[in-house]
Amino acid sequence: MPSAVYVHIPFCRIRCPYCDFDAYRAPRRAIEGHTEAVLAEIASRRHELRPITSLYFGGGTPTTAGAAGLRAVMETLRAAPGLLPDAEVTVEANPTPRDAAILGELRGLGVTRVSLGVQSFTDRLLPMLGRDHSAAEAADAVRQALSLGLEVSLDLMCGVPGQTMRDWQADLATAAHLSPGHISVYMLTLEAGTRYERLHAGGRLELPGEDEQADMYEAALERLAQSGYEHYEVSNLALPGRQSRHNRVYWQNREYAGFGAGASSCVAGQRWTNESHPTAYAEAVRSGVRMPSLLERLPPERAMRETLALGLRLLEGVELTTVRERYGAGRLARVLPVLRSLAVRGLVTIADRAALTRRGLMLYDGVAAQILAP
Amino acid sequence: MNTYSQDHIRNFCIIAHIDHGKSTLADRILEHTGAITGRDMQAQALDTMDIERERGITIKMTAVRLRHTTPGGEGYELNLIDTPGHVDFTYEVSRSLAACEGALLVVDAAQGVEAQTMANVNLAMAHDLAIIPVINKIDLPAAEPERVRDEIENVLSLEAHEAVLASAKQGIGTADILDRIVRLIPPPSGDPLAPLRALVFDSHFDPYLGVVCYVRIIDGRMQPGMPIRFMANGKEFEVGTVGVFRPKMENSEALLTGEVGFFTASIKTIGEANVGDTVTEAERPATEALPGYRKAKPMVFCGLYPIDSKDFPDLREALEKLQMNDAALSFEPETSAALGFGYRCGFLGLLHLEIIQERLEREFGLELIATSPSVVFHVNRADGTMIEVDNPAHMPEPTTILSIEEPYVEATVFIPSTYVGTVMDLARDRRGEFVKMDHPGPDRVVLHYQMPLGEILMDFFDQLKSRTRGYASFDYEPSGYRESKLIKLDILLNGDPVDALSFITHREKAFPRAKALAEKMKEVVPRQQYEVRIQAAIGGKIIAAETVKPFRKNVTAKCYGGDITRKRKLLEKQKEGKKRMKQIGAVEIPQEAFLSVLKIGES
Repeated sequence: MPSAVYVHIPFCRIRCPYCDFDAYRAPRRAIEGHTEAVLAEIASRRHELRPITSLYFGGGTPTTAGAAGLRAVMETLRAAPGLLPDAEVTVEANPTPRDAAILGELRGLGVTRVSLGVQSFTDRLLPMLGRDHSAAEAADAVRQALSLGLEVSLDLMCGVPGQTMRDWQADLATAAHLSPGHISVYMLTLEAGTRYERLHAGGRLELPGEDEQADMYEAALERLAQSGYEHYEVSNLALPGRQSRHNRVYWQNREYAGFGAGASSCVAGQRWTNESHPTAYAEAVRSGVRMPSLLERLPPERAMRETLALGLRLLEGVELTTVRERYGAGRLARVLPVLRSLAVRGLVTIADRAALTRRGLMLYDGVAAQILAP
Repeated sequence: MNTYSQDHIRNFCIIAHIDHGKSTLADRILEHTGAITGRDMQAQALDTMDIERERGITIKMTAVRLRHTTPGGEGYELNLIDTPGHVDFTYEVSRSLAACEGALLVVDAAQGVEAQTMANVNLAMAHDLAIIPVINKIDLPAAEPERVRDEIENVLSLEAHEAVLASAKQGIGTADILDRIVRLIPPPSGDPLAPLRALVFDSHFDPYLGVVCYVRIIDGRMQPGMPIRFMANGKEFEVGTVGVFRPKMENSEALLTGEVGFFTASIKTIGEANVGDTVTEAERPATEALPGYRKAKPMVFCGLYPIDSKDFPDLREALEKLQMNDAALSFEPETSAALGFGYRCGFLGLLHLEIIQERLEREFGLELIATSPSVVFHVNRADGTMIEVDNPAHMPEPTTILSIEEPYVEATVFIPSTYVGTVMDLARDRRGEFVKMDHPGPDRVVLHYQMPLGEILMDFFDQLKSRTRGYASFDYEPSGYRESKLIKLDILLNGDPVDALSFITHREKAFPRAKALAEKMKEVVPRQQYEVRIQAAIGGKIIAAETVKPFRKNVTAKCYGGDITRKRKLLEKQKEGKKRMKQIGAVEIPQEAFLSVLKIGES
């Protein structure tokens, strides 16, 4: 039974041109209606849950639900199955004055951590990224969160339109100087159905090349290491002891329960995603007739392969004895030849743990594809 | 069924450059004579294959019998024989022309005389046909019927002063055209009492009837039950049914002298009923066959390999099915060290190749790699023997070769005069030898060149079109073999030669082409986990090299709860995508790499 809970708030005030997550612009009433449905869904599924060790509000922009909405969700979860005293409670927020203004209130509700979608500290690049804040406002939001005693993670993107290595180095220096406990570094990916993808297909979006983006990524690992950040997952770095507990659940392929439109759950050998449209979702919750998408049953061999592929995203790798205990020696033996051939090619190392090499890190998708292949 | 006396029969075809409106005119004639009504007519009734309709070209011809009554009330039987409009099918065109006494020459009122117009007129004159010029599309704003009339007279030396001014699209001129068919085309002149001689000008395979032969009765008559003999191959059959197309197949009692129609005779393969052959009565054979028969001979060869080797048997089956209707298609199994099992296929020309490849992919769902097309080289060996080589990989060791000959063609290019310079540059670059230049009109030029066919296979037509903004028209006919200084260029990937990428080129072109090919390959081979070295070599000596650097990164940045299923599906899809790539050693090569060699003609 999962003790990690994800709550999805599928609304945004503006739509970012690179983002392919389900996010809608909607009036307050609709957002409140969705929050009501989340409460109802939690009530109906609470028997699935153990007392909560990590709770994560993501989106979309979860602050669109307002402090009141988040409070209602937290109270419902506190009532059952209960929120453990040392639980990690994260809320994603935009580094805008508007969101910064409610950070204190969130802290008061028991939120312990904020993840701020800074993306860039370069004012010149922010409009093209569709962000509605300035670099100075973003820095203020980070300082505000830190001063409230919140754990802070900030997202930065490299390989975005118009970005130079010099811009990026300056962003990294600013981030390191602000000294949040956690930094996520994302290489821009052109996702299907996004505005960026359409612009790019039409030849109207100039992006740094693959080599430049790789250079930026490597520069980030290097620069942030100088400031004490440990690279612990493909895109995530943290000061010692400040890693995200919630996300580790995904990378270790443990169970989690997701609530809200478009939220995913992985419980009892099944994984599914809720109805993605808020109205459809609310209606489904009300009627009890659920229409999950991407529903998969995960037989043990597939689950094991996913555990390996996801676990390799963590730089510490996957403990093979744990895999053997979870899935049995026979199944592990079936995938060992793949790991060995990846090791021969210098992409992973195998000892008591299997872990990516530096080269394997840069070519992770190829590694994962090999492992996931049935 | 009415039968008409021989002097009330008119057999004709329509000849035109591509897109000048041949099929539309045929439709109008069918409508006007009531063979087909506007309502149940799909545009361009004579083109029965999807690809034909899509590409606007006619591949298989059909013969339709029409009833026409003149304004004076006299009834005529008209047989319209459709002809393919492309240079690859010249022989088929010539056979259908041989079945006619006259031709409608359709010329676009805006475009004027083009390369295929001239090629077709030359063929029609060679068959002594009465030619009726029709200036079509006079409704177009850009129409210049006067200029086109002059061109027909100057370039084609045809009397065009009374050319019909028509718009097939609008139905203008159709009645006039029918009137002239009756007035100007002579009736068939064969001898009804002589032994049967029927010209086979096309055929198709029907799963129930066997081969359906399209014939023109030159002498005598043909009826069901008659024992017949194909004069070229000596095979004998008994006629099952005879009939005509109206345009659907309709059985009749007999086919008489001068008539056009079909017969069946339980013939199992199309190879037994060759186009151009003469059918005679087995018991009372004609002494002499009709002239002009030859077996269709493939001019262009390429290897076709399934991307997934499991599809090999399906490829064979598909090729066999296509061959049932296409005697000109040849194929033989071959193996490539790089590509595995496949077939070496022979085609009449590049268009024929493209059509077959497209049909294999579209109708049979096969994913194929086509190696770059090759001509047939005549290799004279030191021991005095000559061998034909249609696959560069099979070229013997240079030390055993005395000389190599390659096929040449006479190429004709029609262009607006402003493009003369650039087209001459292109022709020279392709080893063309200038023959002569004509001026059909004030702003138009016809260039004649002798050129190696192999050079034309290398993207010549696309280059020509792009250099002339699409204004050039082009045609060619084989003009024999000539000795050339040719060498084999090998391509190596990470040091290993890839047989399927070898090609033959002129010695003087070897360096620039090797360089261009290596560069082109570098463009199309995607970055992969390891470095890919691309080298071009002559007999072991490297003359050009490029490197595709390995991926710097291939990593999904975000992977959280909701992403896992999506990302896995994405990875699976990418794996599917890789199936379209061919794995050669550790290197993955996309389909288009095998056609890179075609794209290096640009100097």
